[in-house]
Parts: sequence; structure tokens; C-alpha cells
Amino acid sequence: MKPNKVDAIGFAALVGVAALAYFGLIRGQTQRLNALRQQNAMLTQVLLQNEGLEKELERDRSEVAPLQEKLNAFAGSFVRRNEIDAFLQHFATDAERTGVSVNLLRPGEPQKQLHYQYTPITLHLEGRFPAIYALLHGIDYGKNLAVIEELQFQGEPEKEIGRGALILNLFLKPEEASKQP
Amino acid sequence: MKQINLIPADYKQSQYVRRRAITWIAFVLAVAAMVSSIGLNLNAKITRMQREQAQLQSKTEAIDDVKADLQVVAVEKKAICEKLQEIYAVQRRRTSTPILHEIAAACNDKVFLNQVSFAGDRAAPVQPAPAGSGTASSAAEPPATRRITLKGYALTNLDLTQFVSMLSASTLLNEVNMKFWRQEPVRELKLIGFEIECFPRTGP
Repeated sequence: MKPNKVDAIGFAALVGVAALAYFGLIRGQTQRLNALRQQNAMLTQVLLQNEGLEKELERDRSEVAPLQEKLNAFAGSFVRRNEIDAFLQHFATDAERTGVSVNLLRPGEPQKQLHYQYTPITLHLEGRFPAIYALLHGIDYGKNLAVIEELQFQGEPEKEIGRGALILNLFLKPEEASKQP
Repeated sequence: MKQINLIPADYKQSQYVRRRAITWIAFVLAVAAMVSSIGLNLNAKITRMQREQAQLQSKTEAIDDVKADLQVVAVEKKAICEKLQEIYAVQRRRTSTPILHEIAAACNDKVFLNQVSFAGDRAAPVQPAPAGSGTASSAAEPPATRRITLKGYALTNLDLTQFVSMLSASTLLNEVNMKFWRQEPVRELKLIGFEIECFPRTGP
């Protein structure tokens, strides 16, 4: 074999190996590496953008607990449906103690508010102003969540008594609010 | 010029060709080794990147979980805040006794009321807040439209003026309006009959 032919074969082999390596291995791996780099950069960016989320979650969780405690603290101020009679009985006892006559006491159908329900109770009362005031004071500052919505009193100067009607809304337990009246 | 042949006599053409071929093979092998080392290096980098990517993906998945938790907590917090705001709003409406107290204090034994009425503050119809819009304040308490009407008699105009002034100065009442006043005979006395209208002050 002539030396020139050996050189040609050797050169061809060299070029072949180099080409095979580049096209078969290096180029593909370089492209894959670049793609991985880009993906990782994107993921890192996403992670950086959401860096403070865990702290935010912890902060929110720590805020929810005291709010829930506050809400639970109000649990006792609501009455259950079957406790309305007890509330009215207690009210009648208070009225008797303060010297107010209860001429009418009529609970209505439960009404829905945003998250709660309340029962409107119509009352007709008769008595001296200080006694009525004491009775209303008991509603406004009482344990149960009750709001005097309407109040109308007419005085009788000769007898020094007032006669009137009021509607108070007695709020029901939140879990009862989910039930339709 | 005389040519000197330095090639040994026993050195043959075939030996020369073999050596040249060996040199080329060594060269090709060296290039192959170099390329292989580059390939191995790239492979190591790819493996490292893949491991890194797996870690980043697991972190991203954890972030997704955190986001979901955050959303749940936010919804829970919003619901609790709405409920609390409603309770506070209801509590703020428990103003009847303090207002009666203010009115009684303003009467000062020279003004006599024969009619007191608080009316008009009916609960608003239920309007559930649209999902995802607004805060608890959007589901606010119904507008305070409770009207307080006072009818009675005063001994003199001055007493009536003082009564109205004291009501106006009250922190619990708003817009104290004298609807009318006139002199009226009551039990052989000339008293000042009046009607006053005012509104409970609402606020946080």
C-alpha cells in the first residue's frame, strides 16, 4: 500500500470519528444540557417568585387561630332553637321581678341573615319607665345576642305607666343557621 | 551534489507504511479518547442538571401545595372575618338602652315624654356575597335607617331648647330635628307640646 493511501484512510478515519462524535454525541448532549439549563432557570425563577409563600402561610395560619378563638368565644351568646323557650321564660321572670307586665310574647319564624339566623320576638309590655328600662337593659347587656329592633312606648300620665310594644331579634346558634327555617 | 541515503538498507516500504498506519491509528484513538472525555464530561453535567431539576421540581410541587394551603387558609380566614364582622355589626346595633338613658338624662325633670318609638331598622334581605369578590365589609350591616320619635311636653321653651341641645350633643344620636312645637293646655297648665325626630349614630 502506498503511504499516500494510508494518509488518506487515516485522515478519513479521523474526520469520521470526529464527525460521528460531534453529530452522534456531543451536539445532542449539548442541546440537552442547554434545554435542562433553561428549564432549571425557569424553575429557579418560579421558586424565587414564590419564596415568601411559606412564611405567608405560617402568618395566615397564626392569624386564623386567634380569629377562630374570638368566634368561638361568641358561641355562648347564641341560643339553640330548643333554648328559645328557656330564654323567654327567663325574660318573663325578669319582667315579673322588675314589675313589668308582659301582655304579649310571640316568637316569629326564624329569619336568615348573612351567616346567622334570628327569631323575631314581639312583646307587649306595660309598666313604669324605670322597670321597662331595667328590662331592656337586661336584653342589651345580656348573655344572649339579642337586638331590640323596634320599640314604641306610649305614656299614661295619670297612671305613670308606659305601655308599648317591642320587637327583639334573638340570634340562633351558627350551626342552626345553615338549616332552612 | 552528492546524495546520501540515510535510510538503512534493511528498511523496507512495508515497514514505513505500517508505522505510518500505526501513527494514524494512534492519532484517531487519541481523538476518540478526547471526544469520549468531552462526552463523559457532558454526560456528568447532564446528570447533575437532571438531579438539580428533580430537586427544583419537587420544590415547585411543594410550592403548589403551599399555594393550595394558602388558598384554603385565606378562604377560612375570610369566612371567619365575615362571621365576626356580622356579630360585631349586630352588637353595634344594641344601642336602645344607652339611647333611652341619654334621652332620660336629657329630660331633666322639666320635659315629659308621652311617646317614645324606635322604628324602621328592619334587617336587610339576605344577599349572599358573590364568591371571590369583595371582603367581609361588602357584606356589611344593613344601612341604619332606624328613626327615633319623641313626643311630649316641656315646661318652657327654654327647657325644650335645652332638651334638644342635650340630645344634639349626645354621641349616640344624629340629626336631631324638631318636627313641631306648640303651646298646649294640659291640666290647666300651658305646656309646650313637641315632637322630635332623630337617628341613632352608627359607626365602627
